Amino acid sequence: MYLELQELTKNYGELTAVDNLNLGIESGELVCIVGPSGSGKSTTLRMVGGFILPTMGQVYLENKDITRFPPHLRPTSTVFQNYALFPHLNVMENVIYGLKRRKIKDKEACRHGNEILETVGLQRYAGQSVLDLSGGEQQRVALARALVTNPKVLLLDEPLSNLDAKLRVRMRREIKDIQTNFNIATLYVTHDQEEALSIADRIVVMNHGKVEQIGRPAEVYHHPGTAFVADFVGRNNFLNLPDGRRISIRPENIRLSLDDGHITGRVMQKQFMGPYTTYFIECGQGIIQVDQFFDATIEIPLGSMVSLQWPQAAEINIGI
Amino acid sequence: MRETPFWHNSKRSVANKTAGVSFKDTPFQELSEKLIYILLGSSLLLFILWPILLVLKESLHGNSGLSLGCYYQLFSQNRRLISDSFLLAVASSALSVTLGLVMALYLTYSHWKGKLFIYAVLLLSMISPPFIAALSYVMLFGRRGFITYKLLHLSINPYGWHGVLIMQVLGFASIAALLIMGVLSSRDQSLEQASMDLGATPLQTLLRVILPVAKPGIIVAFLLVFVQVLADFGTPIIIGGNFSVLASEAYLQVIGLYDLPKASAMSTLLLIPSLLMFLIYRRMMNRSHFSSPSVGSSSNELMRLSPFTNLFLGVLTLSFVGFELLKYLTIFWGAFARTWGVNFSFTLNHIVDTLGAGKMDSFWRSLEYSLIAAIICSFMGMLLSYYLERKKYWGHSFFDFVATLPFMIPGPFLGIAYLLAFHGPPIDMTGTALIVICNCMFRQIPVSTRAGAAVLTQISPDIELSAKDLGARDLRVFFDIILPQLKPAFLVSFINTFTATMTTVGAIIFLISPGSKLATVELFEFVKIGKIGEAAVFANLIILATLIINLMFSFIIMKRKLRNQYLGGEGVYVSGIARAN
Amino acid sequence: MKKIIALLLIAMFSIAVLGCSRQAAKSPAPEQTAKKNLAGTTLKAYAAYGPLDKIFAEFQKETGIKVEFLDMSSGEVLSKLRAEKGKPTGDIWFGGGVDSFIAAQSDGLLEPYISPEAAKVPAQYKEKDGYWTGVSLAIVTFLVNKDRCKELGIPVPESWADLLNPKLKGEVVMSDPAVSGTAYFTLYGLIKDTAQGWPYMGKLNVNIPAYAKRGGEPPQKAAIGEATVGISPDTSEELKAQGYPAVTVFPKDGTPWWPSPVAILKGSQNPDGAKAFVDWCLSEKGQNILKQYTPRVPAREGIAYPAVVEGIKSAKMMNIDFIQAGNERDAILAQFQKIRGK
Repeated sequence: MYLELQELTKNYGELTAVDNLNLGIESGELVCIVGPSGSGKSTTLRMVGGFILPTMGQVYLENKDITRFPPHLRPTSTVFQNYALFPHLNVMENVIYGLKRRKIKDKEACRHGNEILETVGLQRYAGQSVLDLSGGEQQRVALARALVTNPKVLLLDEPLSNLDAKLRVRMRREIKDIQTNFNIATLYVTHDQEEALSIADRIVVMNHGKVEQIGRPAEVYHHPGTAFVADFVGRNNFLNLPDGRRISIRPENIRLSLDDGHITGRVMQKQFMGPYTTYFIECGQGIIQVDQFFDATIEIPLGSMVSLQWPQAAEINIGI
Repeated sequence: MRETPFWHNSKRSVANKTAGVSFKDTPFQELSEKLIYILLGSSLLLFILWPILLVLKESLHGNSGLSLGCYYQLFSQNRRLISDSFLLAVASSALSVTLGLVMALYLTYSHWKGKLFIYAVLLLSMISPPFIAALSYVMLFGRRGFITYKLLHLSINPYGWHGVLIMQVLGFASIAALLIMGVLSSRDQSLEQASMDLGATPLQTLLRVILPVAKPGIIVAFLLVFVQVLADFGTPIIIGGNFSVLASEAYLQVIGLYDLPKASAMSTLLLIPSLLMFLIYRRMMNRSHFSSPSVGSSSNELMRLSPFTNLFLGVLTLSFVGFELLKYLTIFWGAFARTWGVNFSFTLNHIVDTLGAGKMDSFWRSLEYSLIAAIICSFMGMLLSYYLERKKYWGHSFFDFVATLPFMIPGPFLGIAYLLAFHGPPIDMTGTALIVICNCMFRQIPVSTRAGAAVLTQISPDIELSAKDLGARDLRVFFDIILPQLKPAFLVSFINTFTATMTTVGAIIFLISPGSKLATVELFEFVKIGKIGEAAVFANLIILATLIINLMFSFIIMKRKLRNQYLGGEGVYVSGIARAN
Repeated sequence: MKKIIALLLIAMFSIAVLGCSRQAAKSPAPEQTAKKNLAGTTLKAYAAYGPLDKIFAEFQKETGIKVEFLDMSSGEVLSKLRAEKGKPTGDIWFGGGVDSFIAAQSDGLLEPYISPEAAKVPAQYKEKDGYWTGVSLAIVTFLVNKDRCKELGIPVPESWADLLNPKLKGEVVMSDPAVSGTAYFTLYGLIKDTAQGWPYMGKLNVNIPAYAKRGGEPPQKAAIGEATVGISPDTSEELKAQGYPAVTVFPKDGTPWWPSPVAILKGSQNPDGAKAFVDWCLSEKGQNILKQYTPRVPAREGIAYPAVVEGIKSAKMMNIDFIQAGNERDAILAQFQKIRGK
């Protein structure tokens, strides 16, 4: 294991922010930590970065215990949610800040700076004030600044949450590209599960400080380990079956039929989403979401009674 | 055809009934509102602008009409005075801001639990009567000073520019520290983390990131201290010896020689840099990015400075605190020592002498005037800030400017101004309580207005709009919605005005009469006569009274969270300005 | 919000009540005096005359008139009166240098009053039309700090000439003549009466580190040891009583003196009360009380000299024409500014 978090715990008085977290990250791997607000994901990241001292547990990097190292002595680099660009320095000065602290001479530092700025596509902005840049540009400067020092671990704290939807989608692809090219172990914190699913090599789902599940995206999506994971990652429906079982089933796996069936309900609302339409069915157990992909043969009007069908393999057992 | 829900109709009729807008209401409402505005505006013109203009006119007094004679005389004969004043001001400000910066850094980054105590001492030094510091300085470090003579057997001469410099640096370091702390408390902590994350040590982070980003705030602190140092007349008078500055000379010109034109010219010379500094301050406030604290910063732990840095900052800070405590201890002790400098045995005589014999009259009078001025000034300030910030009627930026003028004016200047304006027709307030109260009140109006404006900018205008939407009239909106939210600003203004009035000497020394003597003047008299014991008793009384009233009102009126907000960046920043001499 | 208003109202109310009760407490029962109808009124005074609170308390005991006062040097009072332009905030002016009184008289700021008691005051101590009347004689003395002298290794200075001793550089304190009557008369006396004139002043200026901005400062400074010699208007009994190691010296080569006057301000709000005060000052009883609190040569005939100023009988008194001193005030002060040279 390149980076190892062992029994990492953080308590604030009575409150447990991170509870006994164990995680190993390979060199070159991109691991996303997802969870709702307050789940402890940012706290975890900051413990790896050295900004928070764990109450218990260790952080090992290449088998060296760096748990108590302050940030400036750790070979980690962080991209902050608000980018934390130094307002009194221009783009180039921001980018080479870390190099200057390592006593690298100006000329050489600028060379590295220009290289990295080219990588993120901002080489024309080198002399500009960071305050004149757009959100996306600032984000890339922050990334460049973090990468230019060749850190062993890259830490990203909700780097895209301040950008609008379209930009977010584009940026996460870029980040993934850069991360792959640099082949750098990366911990990426986000509350957007879609983001995590799309770029992570592995996902860690956290809730109230505890790890709910660790696994590859497809695994976590199709085989959620707990009800929370099932509900948090992707959209989800919970159903109590007549035989007593409680299952979770994804909207895209349900088929609507005007025939009769075990589970029936009334169509309360439809939302046209583009590639598909989501139907909201009131079936006595709450509202069930069903995604119907474009099928010219079936157009179900509001208020109709329908039955729900799904393949057995798509069921996720929650419990009795 | 869309159905209209059944409840529409009755709502409309209810709406009609409660709207209550009739022909008579609206114009009258607007009228009374405009009347109040006119009243406020006129009082600003009358009590601020007009007196100031009179001083300017007086300074241009020549043998036959207007002339620049006084200025010419000043620049030719008193050049030394002018250069001395400015050089001293620059030196005192620079040194005190430096010391203040050290203390602010220590208080922001130290992990020591005793920080609160240091903070309390800094706040305490804001409420001291003037020249108490100078007095204790002489008591401790004079020729017969307790430390220099009794303990060290030295006999040094504390008088002169060096004494003034030291006293001013020590005197203004607290306010500089508090101002800079205000700036630092609203800093973006993620910048520190990013810097360290990139490999900079805490010290490097401090020097390369934190201080540069805080530069605008530090410059503002310097400017504000500079203006106050220029206006300081008490310290040079007591320990200046032969060294004079414009402020102390202006005082003497009036008191000793009744040369009002010359005094006016001197005061105007003081006004110009104050104005300049203030304009620069305004520009910086508008431009600088007082960034909001980053998300999640509260959960992060404070950056730790290296032990050496901590020690360096800590030693300086604690030394200063030590001096302050020594000062208060000296004053406290002075009340009980029989004859300071000669006989330090314990006695209660001074207390007995002071509390009896009608000397307490001036103390009660001070309390009275201070309370009255504080209440009226605060209310006016709240109203004014509402009109200027929200309503923006015709002439609002002009009135805003006038309301801010007293900020930039040295105490004695405003005193001379009132002397010229109100000692005779058309408005004669000679010798009354009114002239003193008005002077103190309008002197602090800028702080009240600023405090109100600062709070108002945080309140979304939508709140008022929704209140109006629900049927409230304008004045109702003010009293029901705005005023309660202005509580922190009201408190800041009240405490500031009360304290300033209790401890002011500069402006009012020209305005008092035998019937309206104030506590600080009584104190001045004791010091003049050499009755150090009695002076100490009075000083203690003033300090205690101010402290008690301040604490009382803070604790009773403010809930904890608001109080912390007030004591934190915002409130101190606003109220730490323009302390009258 | 209502809480704030309530609190403030309570605070104001209590202060008002306190204020009223203190007023009531201080108005004593009127004594059986000739001025019974004035009891309970207030007199406003500008004064520079020793322990004013005690003196005025005696006056109040006698007449029932309460005095509110400001302790100001006569130069300061003159400035204030000039600023007030005939609408003074005070009623009575008491003590200080007669130079300022003379200047005020010529500016038309005083109200003449010839008290019946003034008949007992010799002509040279009062203004003939009653614009001001001398209450006592202020005499310039040196207040010398014995311990400092020992430290400096010099004998206690006994004359103006002694003050020029180079060892006393920076050790002699005098007030600014513009502000203090004492200083003004010292200055005037030195330049007019001694053979030395302005040059002496120039030399003395070297030994004076700074001119005190307030009249009572020089003796105070000498007493606590901040200076060695303070030019004082009196024998500073109060300071000595506090225990300071100071002695009074009447300068052998000439002691400036002047009458310390009392005058009524023109435009006073309480002219009857003011007159009562003048009468009291000059009455036998009043003179004795004043003498008790501030030992000086009384202006009134027939009052014994206090013990501490007995020495004056053998001292050489300077000859000073007060009227002229008063009239020349502005010119002398201007000249002085040049001498002290900034």
